[in-house]
Amino acid sequence: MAAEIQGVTLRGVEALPVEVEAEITTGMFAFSVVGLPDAAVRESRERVRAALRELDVSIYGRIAVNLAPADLPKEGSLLDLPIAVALAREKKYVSLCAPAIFMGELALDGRVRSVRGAVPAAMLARSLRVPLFCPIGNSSEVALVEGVEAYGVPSLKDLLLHLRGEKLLSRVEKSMPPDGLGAVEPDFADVRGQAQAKRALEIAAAGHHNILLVGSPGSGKTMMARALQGILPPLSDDEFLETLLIRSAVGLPAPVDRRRPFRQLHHTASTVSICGGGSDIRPGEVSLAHRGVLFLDEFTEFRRDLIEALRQPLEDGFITVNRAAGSVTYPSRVLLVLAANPCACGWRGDPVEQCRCGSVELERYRRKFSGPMLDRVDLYVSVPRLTPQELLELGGTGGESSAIIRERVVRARAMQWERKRVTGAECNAELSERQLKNNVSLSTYARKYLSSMAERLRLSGRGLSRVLRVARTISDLAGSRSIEAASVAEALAYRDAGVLE
Amino acid sequence: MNDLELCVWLNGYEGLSADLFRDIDAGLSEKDLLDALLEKKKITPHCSERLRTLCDQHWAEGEIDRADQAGIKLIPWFSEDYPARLRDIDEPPLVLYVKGQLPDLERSCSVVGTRRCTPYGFKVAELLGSALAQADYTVVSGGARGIDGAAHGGSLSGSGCTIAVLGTGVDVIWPPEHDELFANIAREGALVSEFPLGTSGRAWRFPRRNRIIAGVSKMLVVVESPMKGGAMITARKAMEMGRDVWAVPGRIDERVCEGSNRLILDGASPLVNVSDFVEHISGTLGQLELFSPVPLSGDEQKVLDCLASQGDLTLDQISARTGLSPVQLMRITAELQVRTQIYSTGGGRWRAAPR
Repeated sequence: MAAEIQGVTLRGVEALPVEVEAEITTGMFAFSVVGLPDAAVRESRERVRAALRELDVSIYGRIAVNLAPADLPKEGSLLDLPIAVALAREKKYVSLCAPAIFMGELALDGRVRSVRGAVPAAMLARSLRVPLFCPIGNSSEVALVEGVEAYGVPSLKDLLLHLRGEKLLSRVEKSMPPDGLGAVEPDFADVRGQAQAKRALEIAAAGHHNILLVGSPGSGKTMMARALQGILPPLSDDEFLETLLIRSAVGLPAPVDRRRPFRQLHHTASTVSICGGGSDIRPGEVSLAHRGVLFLDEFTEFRRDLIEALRQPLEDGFITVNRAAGSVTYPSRVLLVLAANPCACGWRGDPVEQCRCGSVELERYRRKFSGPMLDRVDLYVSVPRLTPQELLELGGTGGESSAIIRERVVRARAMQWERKRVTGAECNAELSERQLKNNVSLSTYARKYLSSMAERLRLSGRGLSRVLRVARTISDLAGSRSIEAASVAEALAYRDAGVLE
Repeated sequence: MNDLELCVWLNGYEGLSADLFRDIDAGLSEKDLLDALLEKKKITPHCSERLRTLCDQHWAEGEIDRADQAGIKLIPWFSEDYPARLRDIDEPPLVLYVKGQLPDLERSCSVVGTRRCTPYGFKVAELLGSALAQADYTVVSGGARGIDGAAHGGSLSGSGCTIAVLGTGVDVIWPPEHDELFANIAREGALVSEFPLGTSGRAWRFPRRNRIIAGVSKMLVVVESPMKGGAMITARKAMEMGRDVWAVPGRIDERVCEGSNRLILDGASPLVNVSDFVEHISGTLGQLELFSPVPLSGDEQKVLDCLASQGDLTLDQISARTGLSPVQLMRITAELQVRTQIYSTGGGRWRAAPR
């Protein structure tokens, strides 16, 4: 029996194998594709016929292409290549001695166009122990997957020559991106002043704490949130593949280095674009930001239903998307960065502009600063807008570059990893109440100090946990095993009261 | 009908006051009383109709029952508990609804101001409230947002006694975010109103209650008020009643201080120092330790001095002027803020608390 010709179809970030069979019988010309193809798959017959004709393989008679399993819906143009190979074999143009996975979209002249889903397909090929033939445009992504026999295919002709053994394609070499991180724009050294916000972002990066920035328009909230990408520790190999898989499923190119993803949500975005969905169950923004930063600018403008939709993935670290086509679970562990104006008009507390909000408006605005999102925020920071005069006074004191800050962050993360055996939490932000009580190593003096402060400030239970988590991270940044009173005092500066006063 | 019922009944028509009794015999029967009032043009025919209906419905008895059940005390015009100072004012209230314990009002000071105050005004009102509380003075205010709330809060934090004179029924919480504050006021002092239970907040009721705030204390402090503000009405009434009026000087470029600054020009005493003011009115010169010096570390003192010489500084500016690192400053500002020696004016800027 002849070897199987396999294609793939995507369900979320998972590639499912599809066996492609073709049969040509005599009769009036007809070309039918069966096995629940979608419109893109059905149209492949025109592309396949044209591409084969380019190789002087003309097809006539009754043609039936079967995609098995028959009850699985197939989608996308990536089945063009296996169908073409199946027809070429039926015409005795090539023979196949071992099963292989083919994927790619054909151009009318026989070139193979790149498709989305190459990384999931490579992982499937690895687990099935078969070679993968993918478009040459996708070979850089596939190169990031370890232990797969993959070939980049420039055109149908090259593929068929390879299969006939006349001219072999070269195998895709595995290559991971270097450990370092390229320059991320903007750099923290470009941000003038704003020492408080910079420090808070450093703590957020070190302990994976969610953070809220409050400041007037033009104070630099957005710039600093973007700069956060540059001080986060580089992705590890496993994390890199996780993010790669999700990027590949929506057709984004492979990243050039190990920087963590940064995704900005707009408040007009739809729930589907944020959480994932659609007929092909694509991952949403919250999954694209997995292992990286999810930035919500003008957070108070977000509709209630968007916030509600974000709540579950943020809490659980994954999101399950259910559609008629099936259900898929995507990871969604993100560092949440929220930015907001201090009041509805934006100028409260500004030294130059006058705030025009009435007391009722202020109260209404203040009420937006509650609910599921803010419950998950550990750091609250005010970002003052500097007047031109103040900017001049500060002069060129840009401060440390992102690379220097990142080194400290990486060291602090390493300390958290060491503790993981005891606490079970990957980062300080994930420390549960019980672990906070038992494994936080608060020094005796710090404990006394914290309890006296908690009484004076009337901290709630949740507020106390926040202070402890942040204090743990501050101590990690300082390289200290126990939490000293100084760290607690600094952690108190990031509590929620005050940013809206 | 006894005295209490009579007062509650007449108070059922909004806008009437104890001035009615100035030349009318309160001992008349209800019908005769209404006729007499009507004849002397003290009330309108519509008012007389309305009161007659209330009388037929036995509304006053029901209201007294409701107040009893809610633990609200009623102090009618004829009662001995009626605040003496209120008897002299124009249009004294017929009856006072009191939730909590009405303290001795001999030692009391009213503090009023705008609802839309600056962080500075808020801080001053808070400080004033707590300083007055420590001098054993009762703070009277209106329970509104902004200055009023800060004055009440300051008094409570100094474990003093405070009275909120409301423009709604005493059982109505307005503004809604003050529910906890009102509960504390009712426990440590009293919520007072002349309006029947369940009366909702309407724009015209708040200026009306201002005469009580002005009348009940010997002195009034206006912290921050724009030219057209409720606090200005209170101040004008207090001046007419011959009360001591003080005003906290504000910046001349801020609209919210325009009215209070103008009061100083019109003869109000400027309040330039909280402890001097409190010592002056309480006659405890040098006896009170309002702001006992807290031992400060060298760095803390540096930051405090830096902010005392110029306010509204960001952390970067403090860092540039004191030479302390931002990380140190985060810690020091947090600590000084907890000890209420500095406060945030919003947008990440700091000021030293006034003394």
